[in-house]
Amino acid sequence: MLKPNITPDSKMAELQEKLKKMSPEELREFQKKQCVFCQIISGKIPSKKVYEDAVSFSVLDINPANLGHMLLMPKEHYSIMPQVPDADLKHLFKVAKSLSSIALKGLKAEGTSIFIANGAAAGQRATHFMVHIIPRTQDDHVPLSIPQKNVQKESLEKIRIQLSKKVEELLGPGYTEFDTKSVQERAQAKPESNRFEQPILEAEYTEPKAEPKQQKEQPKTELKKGHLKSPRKKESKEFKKGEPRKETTGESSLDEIARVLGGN
Amino acid sequence: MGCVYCELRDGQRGIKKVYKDESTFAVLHPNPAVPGHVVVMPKEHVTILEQLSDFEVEQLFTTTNALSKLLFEALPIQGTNIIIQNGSTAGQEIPHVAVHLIPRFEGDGLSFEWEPKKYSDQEMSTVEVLFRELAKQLTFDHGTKKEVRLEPKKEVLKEEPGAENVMLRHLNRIP
Repeated sequence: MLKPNITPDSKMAELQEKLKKMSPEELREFQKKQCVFCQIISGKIPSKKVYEDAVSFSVLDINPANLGHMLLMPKEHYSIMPQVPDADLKHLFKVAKSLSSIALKGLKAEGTSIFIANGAAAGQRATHFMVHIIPRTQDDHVPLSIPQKNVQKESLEKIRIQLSKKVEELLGPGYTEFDTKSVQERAQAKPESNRFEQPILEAEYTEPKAEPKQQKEQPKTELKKGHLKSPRKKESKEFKKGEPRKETTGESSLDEIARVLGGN
Repeated sequence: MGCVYCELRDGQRGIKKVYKDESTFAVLHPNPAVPGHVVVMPKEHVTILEQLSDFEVEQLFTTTNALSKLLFEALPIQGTNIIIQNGSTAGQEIPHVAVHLIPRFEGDGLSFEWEPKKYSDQEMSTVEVLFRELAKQLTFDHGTKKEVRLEPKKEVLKEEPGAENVMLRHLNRIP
């Protein structure tokens, strides 16, 4: 992997100031210019190319975990998976499946590991989103086994409710097993009860069991466009009226940039 | 012999799903690598990725991506790892395709970093040529089946303020 030169503090501050002023589009353009993999894709840096089509590009990793380790990326510069448009992502994983079978056939590998790191905390080094396809053999010492830990059922249940709540919020009750009992209870509860006593913003953050979303009850089975959209818009209005929206992790602050830069 | 994941799919193990649709479903791993470790699976019982049709692969990763966005919003995480163990040699324990979606944050004690191995130029070039030849035969089914997923999904995800922030944050990284 490429290691950037250490930039002097003054330069760093200047750079951070510049980064801060950039719009998301400019930032992406800036990141793209710096990106080694964009240069590999455009052919400015030579590589061991395995596959290319309109959307995707695959090369052999020059620092492979095993012989035949491939990197598969979208040609367009995206830094993490959530940024990649669904259509491109679908295509990318069809290619990933095919490249994996090429590794199995071509090298007579006994298996493949498909690995993605999104974000520096996940071990991502380059800022270009990529899928690692690693041919595996017995005792090859590639540390991609997933540890299994014992956790308390209660904490697991708490996360499950949190996630299911998000899924239900976005897609409606049909997509999750949120809590059948509470869904029924909420359906039976009088609609409109304390809907106006409780600000929507606050209702959003009450405990999951507290039935905050009475307005969503009636259309339980069928998911319709309108039903999903209208309550969400209300919420965002509430956000603007009240205090400025808190950024949960404080991203895009100067500190964050400094931390990220330092970490590279 | 019953498959654990098929039993999960059929609700036989008392573990509630966090997501389900016509072709995929997801649960929280009961013995997670970190809290919030999600396993996404196709409903159909197949052992390795290669046995899924292109369409099923699309569905599986659309779900995975949607859930990874949700994880960023629902939990205070800084990254995700996505791992598919394709075959027992790759660490697969249950013979049912599964995508592990693992939330990451600094100091979580996890590491999947490998030590690069050295191969001669000749070895690398041989593999390159071999793979490229095999890859020439690839064709993709561009989806003759109709999309099962409902429309609001994408739109709503785009509107999410959290998702926007995650993207912004990652734009701030420079190589």
